[in-house]
Amino acid sequence: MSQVIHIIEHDFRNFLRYKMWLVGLITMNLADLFITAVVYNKVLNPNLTIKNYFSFFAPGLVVTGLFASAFMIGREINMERRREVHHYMLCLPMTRMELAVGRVLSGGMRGMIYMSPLLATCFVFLGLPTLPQFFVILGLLFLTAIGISGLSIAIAVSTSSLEKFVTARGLVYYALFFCSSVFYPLSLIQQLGQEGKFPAVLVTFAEINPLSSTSDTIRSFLLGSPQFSYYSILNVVVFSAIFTLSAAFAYIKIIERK
Amino acid sequence: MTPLTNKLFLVIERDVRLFFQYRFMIIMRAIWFVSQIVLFGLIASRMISIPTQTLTTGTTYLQPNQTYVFDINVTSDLNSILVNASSAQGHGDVQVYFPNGTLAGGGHFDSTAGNYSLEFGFNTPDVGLWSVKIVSADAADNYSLTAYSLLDYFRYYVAGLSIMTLYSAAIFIGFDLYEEAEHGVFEYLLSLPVSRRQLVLGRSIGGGLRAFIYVGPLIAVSLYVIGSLNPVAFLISLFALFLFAFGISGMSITLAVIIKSSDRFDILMGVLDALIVRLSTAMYPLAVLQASSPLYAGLATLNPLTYVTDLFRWGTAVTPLDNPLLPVLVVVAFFGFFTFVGVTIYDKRIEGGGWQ
Repeated sequence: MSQVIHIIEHDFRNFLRYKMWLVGLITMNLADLFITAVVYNKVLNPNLTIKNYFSFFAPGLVVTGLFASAFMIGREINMERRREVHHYMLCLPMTRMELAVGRVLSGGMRGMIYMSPLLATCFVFLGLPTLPQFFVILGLLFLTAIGISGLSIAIAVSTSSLEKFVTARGLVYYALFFCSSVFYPLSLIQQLGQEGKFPAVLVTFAEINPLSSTSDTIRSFLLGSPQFSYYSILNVVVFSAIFTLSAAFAYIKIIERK
Repeated sequence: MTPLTNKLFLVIERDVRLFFQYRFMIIMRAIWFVSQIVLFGLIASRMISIPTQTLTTGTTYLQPNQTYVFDINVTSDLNSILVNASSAQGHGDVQVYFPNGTLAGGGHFDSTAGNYSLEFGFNTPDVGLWSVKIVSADAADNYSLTAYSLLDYFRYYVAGLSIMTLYSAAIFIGFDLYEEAEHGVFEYLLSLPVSRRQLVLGRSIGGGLRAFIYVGPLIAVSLYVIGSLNPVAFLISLFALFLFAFGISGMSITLAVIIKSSDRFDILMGVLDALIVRLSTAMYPLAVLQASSPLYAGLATLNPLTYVTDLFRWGTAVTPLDNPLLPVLVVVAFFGFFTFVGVTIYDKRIEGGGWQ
């Protein structure tokens, strides 16, 4: 366990070195909220159930920020691989599994640290949840962060250049975010599915997407809509378990290759 | 061809050849593009409702449960309509009829509950004499109605997305510089019998050209999806796109050699992308930006992406453009600044290492 903590400490120290990164990421996220959401708020379809896009999007922004920061661990691991720092990591006195789990956990925890000001911003604009709701939100966000961190590590060790990593990150971003309820209500995607204008498989993907589950859970607690569902928790737990384990194994297997 | 021009072409050729080695990236980015159209474009077009033209407006005094008909003569296909209805009594009904007299849609308004806007989308767009009926509630009162045609946000977004993709493809030349610095190729390039100016000019043009080659098929997909074209305007907009791509490549190279740190460059490009794209007309019209915040609209008018996007939408007949000369001049100025000022900066910063 102490080895895992050493890895987490190492990654946290690295994280705090990237102050420019953090400022940049926050700027990008706030640009989404204070520009795009403000503009879209003016032109919202009156037939929608949501009446204020700014309020609707604020919980989505928390998930967006969480994704961006939890994905940063992948960028570092990709860089380590390219600069062959991973040989040094592999010769440290700890098991491969401790190394891999430590990195996945640190990626998730860094995501949580970065996301907290965005969550606070969300609370400022939408109001506070009850204490149990607050802990459910934190738990879901942590599990999502670990899952995203695992996903980014799996991509990082599978791509050989920064360009490929950045491109793959974009592809994952578009698939996970655009096919979720982060930017638009799930009911809209389901309605398009019922009209035959959106493939059923993508509707199902949007429904089980952990980013949908996390953002909709925050919305249900802060806005009262959509209704809270225990399936959301199940979705996130399954996502997190799959990607944490697969990332740990991918990290161990691929990083040892010549 | 003079030896000087020949060397310039060699630099351009190298960059274009390099680009086509990244087949993985090219395919992935094409998937990005299509997924954005299919996912965000399709869904967001249902979420967004932007009035473009007032079709009819009026106020009439109605007895309880009385109907009044507003006629709308439409000369181009009407595929959606936004109706704002209100009365002091608060509520009533609105019905929209196709030119052939069949009911296209209906809804209830209650202005006291803040529900006075109704949007109707039609699967079979039509031209001719449409009618909008307002039916009063159980109280006599003045009833007001205004009907607007709506912007086809899907087509609007697809056109904007093409330009956003061109922008992000042109930016990538900067990342190449870091790869070259990391692998020691930079020193090799500096040792070639090519002047610094030829090198940076060639790279800027090469970066723009490969972005354009890459975006070409995607623009063809956009044209198919948009389904309209204004030939002369489209050629002018293509010329502007060329210059814009070269200008963005020049900007990317200039920033890369100033910063000399791949981490900082990556995040700066992310921030620039966030601000340049969002504070432009790539995703929403200037009038909507103006209504949201005059500051945002002011910044958008200083943004070259606004002008090149407007030109492309004009070329693809998505939106009209009053004065095409101004956007063309802005794009030329942008190209000139980042290509020729970029050469000077590149010249001064290129040597001495320090790449991170």
